[in-house]
Amino acid sequence: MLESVVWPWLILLLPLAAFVTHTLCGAMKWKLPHKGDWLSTGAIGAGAVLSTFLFADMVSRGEPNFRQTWSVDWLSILWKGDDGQLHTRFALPMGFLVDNITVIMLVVVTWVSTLVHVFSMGYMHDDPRYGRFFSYLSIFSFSMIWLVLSDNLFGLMIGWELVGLSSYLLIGFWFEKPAAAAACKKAFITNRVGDLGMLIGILMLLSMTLRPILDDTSLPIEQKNPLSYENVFRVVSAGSYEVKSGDVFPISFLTVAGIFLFFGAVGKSAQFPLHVWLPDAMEGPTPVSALIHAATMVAAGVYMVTRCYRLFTPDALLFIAYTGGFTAIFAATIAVTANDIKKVLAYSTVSQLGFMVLGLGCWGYSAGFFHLWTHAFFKALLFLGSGAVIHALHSQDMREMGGLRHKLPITFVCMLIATCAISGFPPLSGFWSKDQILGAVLTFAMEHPQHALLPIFGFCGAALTAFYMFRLIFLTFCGKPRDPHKYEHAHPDQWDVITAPLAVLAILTLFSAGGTLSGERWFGDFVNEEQVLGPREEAPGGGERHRWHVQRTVLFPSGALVEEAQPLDDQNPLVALHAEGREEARKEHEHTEHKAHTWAMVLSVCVAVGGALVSYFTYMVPFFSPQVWATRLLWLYDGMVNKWWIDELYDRWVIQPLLLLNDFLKSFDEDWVDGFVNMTAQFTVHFSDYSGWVDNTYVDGLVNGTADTIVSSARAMRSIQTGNIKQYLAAAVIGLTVVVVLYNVIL
Amino acid sequence: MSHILSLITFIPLLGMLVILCLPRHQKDWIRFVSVFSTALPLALSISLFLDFENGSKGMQFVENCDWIRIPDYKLRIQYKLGVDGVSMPLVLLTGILSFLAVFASWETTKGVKAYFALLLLLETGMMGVFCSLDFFLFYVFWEVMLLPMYFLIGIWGGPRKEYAAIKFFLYTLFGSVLLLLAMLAFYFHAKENPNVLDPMDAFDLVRLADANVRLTFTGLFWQVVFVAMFIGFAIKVPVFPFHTWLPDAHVEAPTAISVILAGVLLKMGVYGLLRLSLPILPEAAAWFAPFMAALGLINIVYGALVAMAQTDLKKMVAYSSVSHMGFCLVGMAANTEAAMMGAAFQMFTHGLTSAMLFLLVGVIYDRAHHRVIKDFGGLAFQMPVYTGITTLAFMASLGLPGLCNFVSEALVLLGSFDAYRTTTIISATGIIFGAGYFLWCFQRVFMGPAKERYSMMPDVNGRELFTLVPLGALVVFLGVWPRAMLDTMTVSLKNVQDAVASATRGG
Repeated sequence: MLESVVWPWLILLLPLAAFVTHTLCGAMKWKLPHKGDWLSTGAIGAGAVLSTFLFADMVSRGEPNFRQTWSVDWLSILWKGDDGQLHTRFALPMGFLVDNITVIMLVVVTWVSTLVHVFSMGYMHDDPRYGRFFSYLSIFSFSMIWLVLSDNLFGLMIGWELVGLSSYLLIGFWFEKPAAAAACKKAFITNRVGDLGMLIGILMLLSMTLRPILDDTSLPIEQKNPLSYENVFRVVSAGSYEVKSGDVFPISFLTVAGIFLFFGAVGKSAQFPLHVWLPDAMEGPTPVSALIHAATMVAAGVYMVTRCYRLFTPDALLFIAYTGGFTAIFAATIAVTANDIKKVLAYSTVSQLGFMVLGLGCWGYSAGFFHLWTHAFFKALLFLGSGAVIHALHSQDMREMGGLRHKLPITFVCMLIATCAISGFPPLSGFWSKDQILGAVLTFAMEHPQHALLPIFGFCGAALTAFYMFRLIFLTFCGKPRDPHKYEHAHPDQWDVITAPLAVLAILTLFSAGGTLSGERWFGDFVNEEQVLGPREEAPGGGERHRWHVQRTVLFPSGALVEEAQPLDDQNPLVALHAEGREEARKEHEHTEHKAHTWAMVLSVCVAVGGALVSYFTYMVPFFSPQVWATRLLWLYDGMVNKWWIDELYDRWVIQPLLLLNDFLKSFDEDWVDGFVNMTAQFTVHFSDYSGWVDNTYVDGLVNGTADTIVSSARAMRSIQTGNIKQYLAAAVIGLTVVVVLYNVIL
Repeated sequence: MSHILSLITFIPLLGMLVILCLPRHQKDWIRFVSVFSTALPLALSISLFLDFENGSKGMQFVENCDWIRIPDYKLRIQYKLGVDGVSMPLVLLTGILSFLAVFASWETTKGVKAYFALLLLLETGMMGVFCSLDFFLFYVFWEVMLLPMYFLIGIWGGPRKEYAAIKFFLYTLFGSVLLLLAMLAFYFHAKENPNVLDPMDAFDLVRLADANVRLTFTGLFWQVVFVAMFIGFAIKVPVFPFHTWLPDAHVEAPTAISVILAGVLLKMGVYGLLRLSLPILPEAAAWFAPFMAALGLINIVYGALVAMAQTDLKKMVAYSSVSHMGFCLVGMAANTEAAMMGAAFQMFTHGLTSAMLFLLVGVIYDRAHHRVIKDFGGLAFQMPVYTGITTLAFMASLGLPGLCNFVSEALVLLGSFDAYRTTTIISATGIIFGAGYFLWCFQRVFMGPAKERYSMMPDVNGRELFTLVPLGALVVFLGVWPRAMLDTMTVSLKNVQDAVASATRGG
């Protein structure tokens, strides 16, 4: 049944149809029964069922590397050849790629989304904009599914921005709250900063892939997409990434491209230093936090790294590992002191995303993605559970809670399961995935002792996770109610649309990793680097050069490409050189891996139990006093409470200078640029005034002067003209006499 | 020979004559005639779009006859109209926006007769510019358009209307003079080299762009001519530092005129570059390309930063135009297929979104009688439909995928990266700043608690919806299926691009 492209189409388009129906009805002022909640829920529910079928089919086939694609020619650059026909120079088709990781993402997205839809029916019931909330959920589901299904980087970026829009709309759902209004803007703009990096990364990749496509006009149309994953991987593995001698920086173009691409994930998956938007995003309704800001959208960055894994050179992966590791421990420290139940979960999400990224960066391809899968369920559960608490209590402050396990038993049990999972207690799902990450990190550090900081980040982060999560449970559900008034008025749990999704998610939390000691292998069987992207024959750390040369043969395990690439590779001396040592290296790597994983398992259980115990002795049994320790470690406490002043730093060094620059440019524009124009005009006016004056005074003065002279002389002449005939006669006689005399004298 | 282009160009003029014959108080009749005489060109331009042959390399729907002929001086001015993939979308855009402008002006009360007469004259001027294939004719229409614009801003504008109108008029006229000089340069060049170019053809834009002819335009002199023409067009685009007439003209102009100004008039500058400067003087264009890219970059970033500092909603939108038009310049400078298409498509998409934005500003100004961003707040409560449409327009403007501006700006960036790496990367920061000023503005105008003073504000009415919805639908449609428009442009742009590319190689 997987051959049919109808299935992904339906999964994609049903939520879109729901959104369009909502929008049309809203615009036409038609009333949908129940404000249309069934429409959105049904659409995504159907998607969940279909994805489950796809998933079951994938598992039952037991064939991990199936893939199917479908695409439509969305945008092509045509030109007219000499033969008078239109040819495609290159194309940016939009298409689907359904393979293992797509199916797994689809299951995560559709299931969590469906449960959140159901939860929202209860949680948002009294909201005046109930219908609009569901339409936003639908557009989010559509965007996220698009992001997951897309078969090229351009399509990925479209989905990437569209989920950003949905996130903007949903964070700002209660736009009348100024904090929500500010938060949604902050989320969008921070994400855009990441998107810019991603765009640059894509442009860099494009500049590598476009040339061969433009040069070879005979390529079939489907290979003319310079940004399809397949083409990008092919070009990258063909070797145009190498460090050229004489380059200013000893890092390859591809490393830089990979780091830029990863910047998109830094924004979307809230990694340091772009994590600032995610805690603020908690201003949105809680179901939104569960769906978008915990389980699905923020995982998009991790998905992207997984999907484009082959684009990241070892150097880029190292950068990724450090970013993730630092984020994991950094956010965990902030979560320790937060009092808002959702803020704790928000920083926990940032920290867990850091874990995923750390795992991916340390060559734990399936580990990072596995944690995405398990985390989606237990974090959605934690958020929905916190939503249930907030719904019951009408407060988010843990200092006003306590003892709620009597009022909210279902919520308590579910959240306890999730807490154990996120802390990494075996045999819950979170244990398996976190253990794999820590194992990968430890393996990496054992092979590269100079990066010993990474496992320290990882294990400390894990200990802190157990600590703050149990702190949340103890403060919320255990002990005595600290605000008896609120406690009295809290609505007790009952089986309804709020608790049912919690129970389903609790079951998923228990069993999503398989549940038994051997069970965790199934995920690795379906999602591992070799299965999805082709086997890697070199032990990690063999250096950029080696890895890529070997990889060229194996990027596409089926099809003609391998045969084409093979002979080229055999001639490559580097490959031949390393072929001998390869088997040995592999054995050694497996040995280290085994050792590391054993240690990681022991250590991770230890830190989890240790963190939980410290939490117990702090918040249940007053053995450690939080107040005393806060004063003892004041500098640390200060930093944690103030979130290490990152927001203040941005405000001081980015936002305020930018606003100043804006104002300066505005006045520059008005006073100088426009001022020059006005000055020119003024100059012209003055000049014309002056020339007018010159004209009036001198030029016209000359004219008038001439006229005046004539007039005055005429006036003088007029006095002669008396009208007296005797005078005229006398004058004539005198004149005649003079003429005659002169005539005679001269001649 | 079909006369469709003549009809498109002159039907509004006929409408104007009819309006002039109508008595002043018959306002409904005047409006009816205006609707009719803009609807017909719109219908014709839609049929033009449908009949357009995408693969054809040359001009289509050509009409040609001699207009002025003085054999003694070897002077011939043709009445030559025709469209290709560069101009046809702009004819369609002009048709759409002029039609909608009539409805946006529906409630004008002062001097209705003169207003609509001038509006129709303006449409004739704009259509003529996009259809002309003769430099002289182009110039005539270019000037024809100036006059009604001057009066429309100067009489029906806001408080500083005289200042804005005179500034607009003089600034554009200054550019026109440079164009006129360039035009004469071609004529005298032909007189000196009659074996290359018959002086009788010296104004024929198709002839001038011919491969044999354009190769003779080399050297310093033609670089000077190029710069003169560039300044002439740059004022219209507007390119920094010639942009300051724009905010003033926009802020003072009535809504419908702002729509035309941003939607069509700014495109004339870019169109002029694509129709005249690049294909006729490719060598100079290749020489000038780095400067053009730098100016485009300044437009994008500077425009966006200044837009962020504005307190007046309309002025912010005006500066956003400055920013977005920068992408056209960068795209043309990069001169790759994708970048050129992006630049040409950006003209159309920016025409749609900026028209929407100005219509939306007009809606709020009609109700609140001010445009100070920080004095609004919580409007999403009173005006949900208006808020929804504004969200669409803002999102389109800041380049959200699925809406048309994303396609054009992405194409420019994709296409320019190889030619101008740093420029492209810095230009791309424009998308962050764009998000910055639009969303900040959105937050201050629509979000937050509802304000008492706006509690009685009615939502958009049917007439306003009639102007906004078609634009919104096009924005979405072209975002989802850009090929509908892009495929018409490809071949013509390829010609321009080849001309410049071969000059680059030759140099």
